[in-house]
Amino acid sequence: MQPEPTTIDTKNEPYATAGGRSLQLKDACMLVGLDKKIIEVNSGYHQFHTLYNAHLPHPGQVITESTFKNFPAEFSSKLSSVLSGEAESTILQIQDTKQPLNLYQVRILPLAADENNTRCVGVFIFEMEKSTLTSFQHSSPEIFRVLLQNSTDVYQLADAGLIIHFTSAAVENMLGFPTHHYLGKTLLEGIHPDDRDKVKDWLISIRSVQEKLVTLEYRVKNKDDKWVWIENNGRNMLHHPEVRSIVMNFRNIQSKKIADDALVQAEQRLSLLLNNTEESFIILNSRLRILTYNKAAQVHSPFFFNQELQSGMSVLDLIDKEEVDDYIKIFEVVFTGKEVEKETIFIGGKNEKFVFNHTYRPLFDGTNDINGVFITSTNITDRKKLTEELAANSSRLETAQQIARLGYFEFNYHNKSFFCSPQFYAILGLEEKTYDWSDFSFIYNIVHQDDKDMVRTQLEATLNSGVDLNMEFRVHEKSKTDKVVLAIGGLVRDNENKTLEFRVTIQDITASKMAILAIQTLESKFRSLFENSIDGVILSHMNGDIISGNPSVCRMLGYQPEELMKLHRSDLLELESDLVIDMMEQRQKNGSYMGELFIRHKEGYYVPVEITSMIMNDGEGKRYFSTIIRDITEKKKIEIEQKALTEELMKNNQDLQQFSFITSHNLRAPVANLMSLLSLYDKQNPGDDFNLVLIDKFAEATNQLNQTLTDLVNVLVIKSNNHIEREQVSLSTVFTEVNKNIENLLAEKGGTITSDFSAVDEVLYNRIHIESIFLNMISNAIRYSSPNRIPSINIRSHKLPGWVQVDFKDNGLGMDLKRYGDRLFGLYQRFHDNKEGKGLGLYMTRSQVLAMGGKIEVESEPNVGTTFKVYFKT
Amino acid sequence: MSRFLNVLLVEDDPITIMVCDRIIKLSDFAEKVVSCENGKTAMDHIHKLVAEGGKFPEIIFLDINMPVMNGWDFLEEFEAIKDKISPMPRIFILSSTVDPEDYKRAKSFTAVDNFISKPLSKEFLENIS
Repeated sequence: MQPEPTTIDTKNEPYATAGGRSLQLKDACMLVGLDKKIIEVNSGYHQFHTLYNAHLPHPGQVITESTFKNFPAEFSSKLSSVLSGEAESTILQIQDTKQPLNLYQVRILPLAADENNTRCVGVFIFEMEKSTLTSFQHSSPEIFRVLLQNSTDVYQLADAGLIIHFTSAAVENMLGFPTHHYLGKTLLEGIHPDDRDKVKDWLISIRSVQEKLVTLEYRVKNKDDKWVWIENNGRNMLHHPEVRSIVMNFRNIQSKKIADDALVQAEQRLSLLLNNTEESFIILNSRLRILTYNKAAQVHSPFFFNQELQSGMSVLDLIDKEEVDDYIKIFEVVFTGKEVEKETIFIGGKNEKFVFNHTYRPLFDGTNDINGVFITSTNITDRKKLTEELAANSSRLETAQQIARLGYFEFNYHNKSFFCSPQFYAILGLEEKTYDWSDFSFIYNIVHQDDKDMVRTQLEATLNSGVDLNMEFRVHEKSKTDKVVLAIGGLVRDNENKTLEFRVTIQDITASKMAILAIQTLESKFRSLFENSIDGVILSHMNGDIISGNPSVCRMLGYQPEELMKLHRSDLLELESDLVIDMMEQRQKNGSYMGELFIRHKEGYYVPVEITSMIMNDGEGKRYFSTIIRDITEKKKIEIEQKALTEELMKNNQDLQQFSFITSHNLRAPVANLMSLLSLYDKQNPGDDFNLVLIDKFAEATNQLNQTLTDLVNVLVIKSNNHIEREQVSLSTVFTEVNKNIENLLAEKGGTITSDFSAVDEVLYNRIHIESIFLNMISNAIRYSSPNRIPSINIRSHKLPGWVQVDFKDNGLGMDLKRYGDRLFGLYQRFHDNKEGKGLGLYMTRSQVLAMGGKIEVESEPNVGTTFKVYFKT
Repeated sequence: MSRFLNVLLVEDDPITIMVCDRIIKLSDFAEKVVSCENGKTAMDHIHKLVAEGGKFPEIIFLDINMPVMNGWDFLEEFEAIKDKISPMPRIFILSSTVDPEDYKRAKSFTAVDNFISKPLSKEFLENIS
């Protein structure tokens, strides 16, 4: 808030109304222009100024920092901030440094411009009223002392270290200790431990600010070791030249404190009680307007359902119109001084039913007139519900007995009475009438012949010895299948072991008994199937944990049944393999899978199996995998053998067909020649020259035919000989033998043969075949040697896994394998214009190699040489 | 008067050559019979004719199974240079083969006119016009 700038007439008595307060003679005033030049200064100000500074200011002087030297710092800083316009106006209190109890109020205000348009700031000083203490000090120390002595308040003085050096006499009256008890002690002594921290803070705050009065309530100990609440007012007067102390002034507020606390607590308790109780109440005045109500009344709205209560409201406005008459009747009764109780039912959302019991009581005033109504409410919904349920239960029990096909029988020993439920008769197939209950012969009559003794024994044990009854027996009914009945019961005794009642429930369990029997039969059938099946059966969880396996699968995979149960599918299957991934996918998609897989045997090898795996649900919604496994090792083996056999047969077949084509061709050729020669023979002139030539050719062709036949027979011998005798054959020996036969041929050509059988020398083979192979290979190498080079042949053996390889390398003519490769080893295939070659050698060699399960390969380059590689199977 | 002037016989068996030559002559099939002992010498002969501008044979009897270059090899090379040959000789394969694959293969060459099973007979020669 900003005070209105005051207009000042400097010509007249100037300061009459500054700050709205009448000035006294001593009041001081100074006007300063915004240019910091002093415009006016009065004698009062001079008086004030001398309190701090002997150099008096005069009009026209520009104010500087030294003008207000020794003034409180606040004074000059506030003045300059108002002058500069930073602050609007300010009021401060400053102290006389020589007379600290003298206070001055300084008002610094910006003033409106005068006729010379000079804006200025006014500084007004008022002398504050002096405190009583100061007056006393000044007037009469004795009065002050007497006052101190007789005051009920205690005065205490302490130094800066909070050490007490004066305590007024009132303390003895208040706390029981003499004044000297406190001398030299600190202000913190005898304080309640719970208050000590707060007292410490309070003292520190007093000590840090001069002159400020700070009050605190806390507890101190009295002479009787009791805690007394005091209100202590502290003021820091350490700077005061005559006091030089912290001045404390405290009084006993014990009774006030107790009363206060009691009041607060009582109020709290009451509001706690009223607002936390489930019990709701409303108080009405005599005109049925609501005076007050508690929280429960609002929250649970037990009086007026879902209506918001408000003080001053008439309850009749909260009631449905149809009910108003009923309520008025109630209130009429209440106002005669009687209590009324009423049950009210509310239907909440969700069709919930709430039942409340409301009590309406008259409120009496001091003169025993009725001036209001007190309504309380109790929620009896649960109690009501319970009562209703109880009523319903007895009828339910009957229904339950019928549904459960439960019969009930009771004999009361006290009044010798019997009770039988209708179901009891129905189950036993008895007529509903009174039987002779003294013995149970009517029961024994209907019990199955074989169960009679058992029933009798059990019943007697229960009735005579109090053994609990629990038996199953068959009831024989005419023209019906036997029923199975379960009877459970026993004697009821009181605390003194006196028998009160005999109770039995009976139940027709025929159906469940039959079902159990059926399941057991089925189970045993399955069990025997499972145990005795040739096929393996594995039951596993969806996560792959194996639950069980039958003996067959255990045998198949080499596990004990208990070992198998601990395995996971990953122990048996190669989960990353395509077959298994496919199986899992198909099974997941179609619920089942049939196909072939490999399952890992305990020993680590894989068993080829045919499996049928399907997802199976048990009755309880759990899912399993049931997998039937058939070992197809034998089947596989046979399949593989069959495949190999078929392939071999096909090959042999082709080979034979080719052989037959070629042989027939080669047999037909000379025959054709003979036929032609014969057709050309001139029978008329046997002595004809040409006839003689023909006869020569005839002989030649016949020889040709004979040779062909001989060759073919040799080939056939090799081809048809399935049981070739094998022996350890030394390659170097064979080589030496063969060498003898071709020495002449080699010498003719002037070539050399070298051999190296150091890697491997021995093979298990047929000697004749090996010699024939060596002979063919070497003679071919010589026969097709290059006329441009001295023949050089090298034979060398190598050891390979499963094979012994023998290379025949020459530097002969070589061949274009692109052209001849496919028919190089064919029968009667010739590649060189060489009369000796019949196209039989390589065919024979290949046949001999193949007959022993070996193979032959060739590498060749025209005019460089040829290498034949013969592989002997080891 | 022979029906053809020039016949080439490609055959490695000397008896067959002699017999064929005789039958051809006796049946007045051709005046001149040139024989080559395999496909290679036959191709050499044809190349020579091309080079010298000689008269090409009108008929070629070709055996299949021969050393160095067999009948099939010859046919492949011959077909490669047939643009240079005019008039085109008619080629008859003369073989004692019984392999059906050989008949099929013979038909795959456009140059082949027919397939003659050995022995070559007068009757067959008379049917060639």
